[in-house]
Amino acid sequence: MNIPIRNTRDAYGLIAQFFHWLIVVGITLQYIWAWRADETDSIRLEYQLVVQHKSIGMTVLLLAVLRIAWRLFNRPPALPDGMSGWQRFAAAFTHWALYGLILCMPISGWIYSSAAGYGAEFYGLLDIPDLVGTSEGLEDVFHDVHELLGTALLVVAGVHVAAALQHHFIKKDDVLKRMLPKWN
Amino acid sequence: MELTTRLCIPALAWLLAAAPLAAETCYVGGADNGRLEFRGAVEGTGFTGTFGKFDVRYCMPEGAPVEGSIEVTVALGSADSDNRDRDEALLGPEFFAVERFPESTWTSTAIRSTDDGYTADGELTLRDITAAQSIAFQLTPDGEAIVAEGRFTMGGSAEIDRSRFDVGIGEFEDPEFVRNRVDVTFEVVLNAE
Repeated sequence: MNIPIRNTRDAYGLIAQFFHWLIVVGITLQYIWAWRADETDSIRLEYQLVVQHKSIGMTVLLLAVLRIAWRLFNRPPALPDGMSGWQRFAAAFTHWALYGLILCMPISGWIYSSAAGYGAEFYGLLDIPDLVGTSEGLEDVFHDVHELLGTALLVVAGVHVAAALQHHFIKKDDVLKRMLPKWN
Repeated sequence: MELTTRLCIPALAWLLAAAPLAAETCYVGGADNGRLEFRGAVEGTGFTGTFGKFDVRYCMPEGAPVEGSIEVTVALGSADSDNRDRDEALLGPEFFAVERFPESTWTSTAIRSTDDGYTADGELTLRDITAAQSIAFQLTPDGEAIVAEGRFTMGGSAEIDRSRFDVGIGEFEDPEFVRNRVDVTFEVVLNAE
């Protein structure tokens, strides 16, 4: 396997790929955990899943901050030459919308949890401080915000995946391959 | 025995027996000038709640707390742990079941002096279960000064095993999920009635 640490003109480097795929795993777990918490009849399991959901969410937040910081210091590879202006705009818009949603999702959940008066811990190791005082009004608002952002993230991530697949299978360029390790 | 004597002896005995009672003063207080707090834990994470409505009545002969008796009544529906879901569960059928058991009472059976203040043995009724429960407390001021001031602050604590009172049934019975030990602390100003 051959991946440079930093991004090159043609492909993402090891650090960017590491953050990208770890965030993908984290976000996927978050949706599965949220769905399981909604579905279960066991109050205890629901409680445990929500506690774990918060720890995973804080991990994603941390990774997203590092990912964005790394992106600012290490420019991503250039887009293929054949892309039109609106495609370039759509690509940039989708990426920054994704970053924004990935940051706002855990923060909205954090505010929701704080307003609800639940203490939160990071994998049982550290107490997560409350962002706001308890307030049923804020709890209701941020419950809805968290769900809305969750749906928006699902849509934007779907567009992102569809675009990557379209580049790979229809346009047959290297846009998807840039985010994959080269096994030769 | 003459009729007068037959009447007087019981009357005298009754008066003598009643004499200490006559000197007893009751001090009362509640949530308006006090705080009753409980601390539990769910999945190892602690939480704190308070009861917004409770009454304490401490009756004692002049300046003699150990000879007195204490009654506490707590409106369970006033429990507030600053979390909507948790409070709903606390008031619901698995925990306090306030619709069936709106109040909890604690009545002292014996009070003794300790190095740190006092310990009162008593009986706690929660839901439909009554069991022995002791509390430790301090009085400020204490002793004769209580009479002079006509009021005192009573502060203390109790460690309650919720499982003895069936508080938290079904899935909540598991102490690994909801800790059995509940720490109760209180401080209340009691004024002479």
